[in-house]
Amino acid sequence: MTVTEPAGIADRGDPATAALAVQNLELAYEVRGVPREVLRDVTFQIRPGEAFGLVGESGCGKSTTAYAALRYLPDNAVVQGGAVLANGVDILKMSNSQLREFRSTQASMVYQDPVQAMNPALKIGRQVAECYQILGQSKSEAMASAGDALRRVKIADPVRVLDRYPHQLSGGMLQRVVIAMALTGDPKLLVLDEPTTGLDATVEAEVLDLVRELRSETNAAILLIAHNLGVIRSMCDRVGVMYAGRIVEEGNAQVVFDNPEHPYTKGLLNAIPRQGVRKTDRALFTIPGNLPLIGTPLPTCVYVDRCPLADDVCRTQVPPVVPVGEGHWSRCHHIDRLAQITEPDAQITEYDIGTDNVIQLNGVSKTFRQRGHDVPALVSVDLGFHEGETLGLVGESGSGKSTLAKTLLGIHSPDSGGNITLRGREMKSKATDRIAESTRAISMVFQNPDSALNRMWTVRRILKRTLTKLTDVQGAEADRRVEELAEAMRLSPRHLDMRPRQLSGGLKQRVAIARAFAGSPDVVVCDEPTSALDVSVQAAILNLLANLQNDERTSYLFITHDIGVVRYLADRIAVMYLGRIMEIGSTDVMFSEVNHPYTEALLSAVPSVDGEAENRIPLTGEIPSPANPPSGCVFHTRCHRVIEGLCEVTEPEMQEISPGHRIKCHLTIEQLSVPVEIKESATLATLAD
Amino acid sequence: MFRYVLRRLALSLITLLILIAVIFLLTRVFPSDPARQLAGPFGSQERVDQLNRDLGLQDPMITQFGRLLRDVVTLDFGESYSQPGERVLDLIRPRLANSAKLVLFALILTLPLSIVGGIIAARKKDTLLDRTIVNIGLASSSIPEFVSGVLLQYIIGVKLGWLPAVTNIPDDASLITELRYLLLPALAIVFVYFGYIARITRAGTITALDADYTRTAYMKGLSTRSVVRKHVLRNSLQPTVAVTGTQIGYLFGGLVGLEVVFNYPGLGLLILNAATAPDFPLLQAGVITVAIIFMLCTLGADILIAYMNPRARMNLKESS
Amino acid sequence: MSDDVDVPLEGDPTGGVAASEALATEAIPEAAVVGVDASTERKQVRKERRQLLLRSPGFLFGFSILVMWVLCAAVPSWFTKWGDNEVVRVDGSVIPRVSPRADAWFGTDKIGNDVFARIIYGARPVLIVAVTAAVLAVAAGTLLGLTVGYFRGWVDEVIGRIIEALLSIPVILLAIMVLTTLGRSQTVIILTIAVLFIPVVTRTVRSAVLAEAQLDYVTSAKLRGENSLFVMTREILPNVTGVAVVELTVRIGYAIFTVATLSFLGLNAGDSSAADWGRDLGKQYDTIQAGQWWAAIFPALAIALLVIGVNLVADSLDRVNKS
Ligand SMILES: Nc1ncnc2c1ncn2[C@@H]1O[C@H](COP(=O)(O)OP(=O)(O)O)[C@@H](O)[C@H]1O
Ligand code: SF4
Ligand code: SF4
Ligand SMILES: [Mg+2]
Repeated sequence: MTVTEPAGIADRGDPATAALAVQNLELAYEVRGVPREVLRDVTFQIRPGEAFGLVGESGCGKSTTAYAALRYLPDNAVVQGGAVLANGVDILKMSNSQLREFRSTQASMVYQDPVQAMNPALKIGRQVAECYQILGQSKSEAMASAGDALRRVKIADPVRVLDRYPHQLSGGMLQRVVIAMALTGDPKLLVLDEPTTGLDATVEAEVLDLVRELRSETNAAILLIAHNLGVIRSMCDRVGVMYAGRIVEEGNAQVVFDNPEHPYTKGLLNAIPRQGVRKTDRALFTIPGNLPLIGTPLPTCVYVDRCPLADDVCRTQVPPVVPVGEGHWSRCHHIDRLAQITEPDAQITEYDIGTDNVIQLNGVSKTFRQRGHDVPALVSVDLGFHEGETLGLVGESGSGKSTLAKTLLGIHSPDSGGNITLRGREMKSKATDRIAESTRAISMVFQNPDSALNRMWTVRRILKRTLTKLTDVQGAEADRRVEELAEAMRLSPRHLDMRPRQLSGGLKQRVAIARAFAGSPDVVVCDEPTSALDVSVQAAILNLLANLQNDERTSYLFITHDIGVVRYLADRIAVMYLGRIMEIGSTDVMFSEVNHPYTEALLSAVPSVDGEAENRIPLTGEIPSPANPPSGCVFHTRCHRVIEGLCEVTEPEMQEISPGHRIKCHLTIEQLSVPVEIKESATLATLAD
Repeated sequence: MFRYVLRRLALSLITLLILIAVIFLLTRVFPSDPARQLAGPFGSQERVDQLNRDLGLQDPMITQFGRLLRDVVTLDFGESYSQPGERVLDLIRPRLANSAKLVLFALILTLPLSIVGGIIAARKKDTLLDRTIVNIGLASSSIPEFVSGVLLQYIIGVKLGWLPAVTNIPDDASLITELRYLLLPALAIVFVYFGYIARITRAGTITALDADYTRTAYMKGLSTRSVVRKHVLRNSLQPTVAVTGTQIGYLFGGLVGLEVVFNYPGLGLLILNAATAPDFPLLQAGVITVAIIFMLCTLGADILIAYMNPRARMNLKESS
Repeated sequence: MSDDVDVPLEGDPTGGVAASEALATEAIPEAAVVGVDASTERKQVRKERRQLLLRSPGFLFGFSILVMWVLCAAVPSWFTKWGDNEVVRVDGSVIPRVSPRADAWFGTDKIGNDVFARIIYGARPVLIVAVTAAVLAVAAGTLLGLTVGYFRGWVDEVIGRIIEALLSIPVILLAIMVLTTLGRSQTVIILTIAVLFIPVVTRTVRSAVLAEAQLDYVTSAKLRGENSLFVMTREILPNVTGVAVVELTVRIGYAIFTVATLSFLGLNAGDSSAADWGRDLGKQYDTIQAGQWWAAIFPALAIALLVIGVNLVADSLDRVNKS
């Protein structure tokens, strides 16, 4: 099955001098005694100082490759062939002590979830200093070096951080610490596996800034894995696109993203809402089907089951590596036919949005009591949305988005004073006290379908129960309706008798959406419904939501941290910070007119696949605790446009700067239009107490 | 940390209070007539009334409960019914010491063995060695301690004659002699606890070995030995500590059967005798003593865990 | 629920050490099973579980032991010609204290009963008491755990404290206290053990329920207006029955342990001459000193074998439950 190395990749350079050269790596995981192929003939090189990105949907083998690069493989992994060279030495053949030496001085790794990566029982200082002790420093020397290391990753107060335990630090701060540890001894190779996944966009941007800066400082080669293609584009020189354990396209990152030369790459890129595309412009491109199971024998093109161009040649012959440009190649039989993959048409050009508010929140506040302290999570929120409208809700984590949703749903009862009305009629604050009509009118799609669906119930039971509970439809009629509902969600009838465990993530989310629509609700709250899904699946879900909305004239409250998604789907966008709405306006206006300083920073934080000009406004420091919000304008502690003497004293009023576009800031449009000076270097991270 | 200890202590006291109430109810609510029992079947009714008055058995329940609380605080439980003239506390003290000796000795034998066994099993997960340790542990800890006591007594004490079969320790015994006498019952305890603690340790160690921070430690270039010693153990032994804490509590007083087999004058036997006599002050005091020891042991274990794992100090509520 | 560490022992301590034996990286994608017909798929899952059980030597061994004892309890007369307290006579004369031999496999005891027959007959009382007590305890504990875990609040606080308090005394001591005051009919013994096991079952179920109640499907049910009873019994309960079943097997093990101990201490019910392993052991172990081991050692082995059997089954069920 291994293909002989074609001439096309000969210009990769000398593997002996590469910081990392993975050569024809074949790797399998043994499951119940059977080896199942995971990496298929993986070959790539990273030169010293170069950054190489690896993209592909989850399960395609990216992490396995990353771990193989440091030979940290699970017990059931079997290397079936190939080599992993670091500076010409095959690490798969190293002795244990050589390997330790290699890990301590030559290479290191940073991965997702910094909280788990640190030992909860030991102080930061001890863990960082340990890296230096391995290099032979004495305890006190190592501790001093640890302080320097933290300073190097721009931690403002290293001495205090060293004295803390991991659980006392934020995720962003911990990731800096992990990076500091990885940099010990100036490694020649830095492997980063989803280093910013799970962090807020603003924090992600800071961490990426830091990595970029350190890279130019240390000249380390980088292997970066990220599911966010924008991150790869902004960070990497070259990129490899992986599918089912095989690299199907490789080339200069910008070139690959601008002109993909493989059907899979093209599919991935088209699935992302980008270049400001809106739901009214076109539907999102989806890749039907699923990644093949690990161990599936794939004697032909790995992508053949899902490729729109697949024909008999693809089914019978392994595609060759075809050079398509300078250091750019693709593994496909039909590169010439790529243009036949067309973008989907506009699905619905006109969305019919009503003028009456279906739901109206008037002065809604929510204060939690925590250990005797008042924690205001929502502060006097006024918000209404129209029939058939999508209201996007964005903000960093902790800004109150979910509290707003839960208050609307009646999971939390708001403080007295405000009220929520449904078509002009006030609703009871607790879900259990609401009349049937209000219960039917509002439903929810949760972030994590695994948690949202009862594992022991079949899909049919889940849908039928919801339907009969919320509507008058009963009996055989209900069964029929359930089948219709499933069909509308593009679930096949056989899915109805499955339990959630038997469905893929995308299908589960469809079931959750079906349930949310069972009672023909007026409003559906979607709390990050696609953030746990791969982009191709996300695209299908977003298309589905858009279509359903148009058919049913449902309103969405759509919470997300993905600006691309909110821009695609939302008609209006509200930006929240510390429980307050800082800005609200129609999507068009939000992306064309001036913004609130917070929005400005938020929007600039996101690296884009399209590679728009980098113009990042750094947000300094961490989001303050809602228990102790800053005086005056709550954003003043982090604002880049702060007016000294005013903002920290007086809280600004909402001002309408154009019809329907409101901003909570003291500045005028003119003042806001003045471009801000952008600091070049990464910002210091300070402890939030 | 200090605040944690205080909060934890307060919780223990509340629990103890509830427990004393439960014990009080158990010995008072059920139909029985202590005064009649004390006076004997042929005692006159006057004598019974007199006793009832003396012992305050006809006071309102709440008064009686208050008296019991006072007794606990002052550690003075009055006189024994079954051995008139003896202070309850004086009866308990030597028994407590005996139990402590046995438990301590058993722990010294069990803990190192089972912790090492558990760690080895975890490191060699799913191998024959692991399965062997786990299954031996499961089997041995399934056998009630008085059953293994009898088996050991027969094989080692009687058949082989290596060790004394009953623990009638001579008064002037040296420490070595004393330990020789204690070895058989202690081995019976090892039997039960080896499997238990080894399995807990194994599970904790597997979790810790799989944790991301262990990966971080490997990636730093540490050797397996250092990874285990510096990063794994500190986390993996927390469940072991917790369990050991509760089990020490159970060992005091929970070993009634074993004490019967070896005729060992520990707390369990005392409580059994007090219950059958019946001797209520002695019974109450005995059980409360066991409970207090349990509280102290779990308190100690929790403090140790809080020391090992700073995060544990935060979620006191969840851990209860 | 503890992992595979939940070995029957007095009082079941911490109640939960989770050993994640998960894959080193991400789980095998759910896509794994998409495309297979639903009912076949479900059957397959069940079949796989069954196979997993049948392939585990521990389960097979434990299960055979249980089958053997249950048969003994159900139809003792299949296995021995003697009645349970019938005195063995050879040629018309009683033969007490004979060592194991062809016409008395396990020998005879002080009185002259056939020890083998006593072992066969002894299975019934211990099984009846232990299983009934465990079933009652798990039923009540599951209900209570479900209720307090779902509603939380001050009731949960109070019950939690009481449970904590009760768990701080070895079950055997509490049982001794209750039985010496209340007398010892079989019913009292069963109820006592059942009641004393409720706290620990409650704690186990409660923590499983707490984990479930945080999941979004519960929120979703509340949002569509389901009442608490429905959420508890239809939504949450099916998801904690696995835990409850494992708990049941574990509790049966503990109950046998406790019943045997009580009998050993002489605190058992019924006719004092009826066969009962614990009591036989208690009455006969003094003959060990005289070298007459059989009358005590065989009941001891019988107890040990039964508990080992139950625990092997409990352990395998737990393991399969988690895989
Ligand atoms: N230890 C393992 N045993 C069996 N299968 C595994 C193991 N680790 C990962 N896999 C499987 O191997 C495939 C590739 O996984 P991974 O490298 O983590 O992909 P990615 O990082 O791209 O998401 C997936 O199907 C994953 O479920
Ligand atoms: S080789 Fe064929 S199936 Fe594979 S990507 Fe190219 S066109 Fe598609
Ligand atoms: S009011 Fe002041 S601090 Fe607040 S956003 Fe405007 S400029 Fe910044
Ligand atoms: Mg991965």
